[in-house]
Amino acid sequence: MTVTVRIPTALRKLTADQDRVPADGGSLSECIDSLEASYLGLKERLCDEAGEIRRFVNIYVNGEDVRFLQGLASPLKDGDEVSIVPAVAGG
Amino acid sequence: MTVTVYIPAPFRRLTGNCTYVEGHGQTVAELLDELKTRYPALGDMLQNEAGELPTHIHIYVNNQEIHSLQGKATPLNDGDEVAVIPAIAGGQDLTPEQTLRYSRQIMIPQVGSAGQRKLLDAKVLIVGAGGLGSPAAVYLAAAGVGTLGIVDSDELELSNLQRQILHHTADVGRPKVDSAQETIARYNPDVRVIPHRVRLTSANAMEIIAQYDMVVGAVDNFVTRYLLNDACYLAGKPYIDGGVFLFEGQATVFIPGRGCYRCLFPAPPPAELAPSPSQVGLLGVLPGVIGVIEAVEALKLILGLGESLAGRLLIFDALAMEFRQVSTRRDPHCPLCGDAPTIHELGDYEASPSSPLAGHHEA
Amino acid sequence: MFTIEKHYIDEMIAHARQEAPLECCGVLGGRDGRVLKLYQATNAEHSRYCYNIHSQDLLRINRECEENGWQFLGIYHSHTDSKAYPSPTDVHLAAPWPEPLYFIVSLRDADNPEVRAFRIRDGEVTEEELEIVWHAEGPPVPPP
Repeated sequence: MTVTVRIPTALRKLTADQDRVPADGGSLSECIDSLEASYLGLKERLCDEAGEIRRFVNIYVNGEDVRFLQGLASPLKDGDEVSIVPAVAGG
Repeated sequence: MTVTVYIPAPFRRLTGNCTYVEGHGQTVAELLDELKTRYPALGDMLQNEAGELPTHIHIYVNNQEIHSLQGKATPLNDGDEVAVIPAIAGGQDLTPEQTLRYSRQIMIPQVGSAGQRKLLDAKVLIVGAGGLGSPAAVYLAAAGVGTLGIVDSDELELSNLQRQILHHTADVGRPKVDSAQETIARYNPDVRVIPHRVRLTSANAMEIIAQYDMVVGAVDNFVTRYLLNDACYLAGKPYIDGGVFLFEGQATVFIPGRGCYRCLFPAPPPAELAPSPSQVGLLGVLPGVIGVIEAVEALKLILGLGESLAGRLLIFDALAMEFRQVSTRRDPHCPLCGDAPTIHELGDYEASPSSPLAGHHEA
Repeated sequence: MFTIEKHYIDEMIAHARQEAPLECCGVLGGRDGRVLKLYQATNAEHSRYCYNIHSQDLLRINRECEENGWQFLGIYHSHTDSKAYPSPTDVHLAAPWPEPLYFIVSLRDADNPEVRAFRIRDGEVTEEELEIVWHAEGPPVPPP
C-alpha cells in the first residue's frame, strides 16, 4: 500500500523540508519502517526504545488517532493519509 | 392527592379572589390540568401555545421550585402546599452608542441584540498576554466581551513586540497586564479588564478560573498548559487551547466530559524537543492566526453558534497555507477525565525532561 | 404622586451600586400606599443587561408580605448604563405584575444616580411623580 505521510514542521529537516512524503506499508508499523528507510532518524522521533509511539506524538490515519484504532497495527490502504502531529506549545 | 394551592395577588381575580384554593393530582402536571378545568382563565396563564408551562411562571411544592425537583412530573402528597407565582424580570437595552458600536454584529440574525447582551455579560479568562493572548484579547474586546481576565506575570521585552500586539514600544519594561488593560480600554471602554499579574500555579488557578465562564489558553509552555487543562476540567469550564511552532499552529476546544488535553497528548515532549521561540524563532503572524481562531471559538461558545472545535484538532501550516483537521476524543484511560480518574486536584506540574509530569500516576 | 421615605431611595441606590456592573432587583412591600419594607433580591440572571428575581427570593418575599397583610407596592431594578426609564424588555415582562410601581435606578451618571417610578399596564408606561419625605408623616425632602 502506498500512503501519503504529512510531516510536521518540527521533523521536516529530516525529510529535506518536504511537508508530505510517500511511504509503503500495510500497517502503520510497516509505514514507519518505510519512512525510516527513506529518512534516517525519523523513526526514533516517533517511537521509543521499545518501539511504541511516543506519548507526545500523535499519529492519525485519515484523521483518526491510531491510539483509538489499532495503534502500530492500524491497517493502511492505498491512498490513505497518515498525519504525524506533535504537541506544540509556543505562544 | 389533595393539596392547597397558593394564588398570588396578580392571579386572584382569576380564582374568584381566593388566596388559597384546593387542588387535586398525583403530580404537578395533573394538578395544573385540574386547575384549568375549574379556573380556565388561570389555566391559560399556566400554559403557553405549545401547552407547556411558560418560563416566566414559578411553581413551588412545599417551598421548593419544581425545576429543582422533577419539574411538572414532581409527585404530590396529601397536604402538600403548591404555590404559583409569576416571575418578576426585565432588563435594560443597549445604549445608542453600543447599538452603533456593535451594529455590524447585531445586524447578523444569529447574533442580534440578545447575542450582543450575551457577549457583554460574558466573562472570559485569557491566560497569557503574549503572542496568542494579544490577538485573542483584542478581538474579544472589540466584540464587546464584557469581562476579560488577563493572566501574565511578565514584563514586556522589546523582542515581544514582533508579535504581541496588545503592547507598544513605550511599554517595554512594564508589566504586560498593565499595557494590556490600557490597550483594551482604548479599543472598547465597555470591557472590564481584570488583570492577574501572577504566574498561574496550583495554588491560585482554581480561584482565578472560578470567576470566569471559559478560558482561552495563550501560554507558551507545556507545564502551564497541563495545569490549565486540569484546572479547567476540575472547575467545569470550557478550555480553548492554541499553540504554535515556527510555521505551524494548532487549536482546539475542550469541553469538560468530552476530552481534555491529556486525552490528546498524555505527556509533554522532553524540553530538548520543544524549543521556545527564543531558541528557534517564530513568525509573528502564526500566533496572530491561532489567537484569533481561539477568539472565534470563544465567541461561538458564548453565542451558541456554529460547531465548536470540540472533538477536532485544527492544524495550520502557514507555509502551505493549509488548514486541516484530525479527530480528538475523550480517552477512557485518561487520568483526569477518563472512566477511572486518578487526578482529583491540581498537583506538581514541573516536568523533568524525559518523564511524565511529576506527581501523577501515568495511565 | 407616590410618597416614599428617602431612606428607601437611598437603599435602592446603595443596592444598585453594590451589585454594579450587574443589575440589582428587589421589592418594596407595604400597604395603603406606604412602603414598609425594602426587600433586596438576588438577580438570578447575574447579568448587566437583565434581571430576574430569584425564584426562592420571590417566594420568601411573597410569603412575608402575605403574612403581614402587605402588597408589592413597588418592584425596583437598576440600569447600570442606560437611563432610568423602562426598556421595551421591562415593559414586556411587566405584564404579569401590573399593580406595583416600577422603580428604576440609573447609574449612568455614577455620581448622580437617578431613581424614577412608572406604572406599566397593558404595555403603556406612565411616569409616577415621587414625593420623597424624610418620614412618612413628614414634609417632603427638598430637592438638592
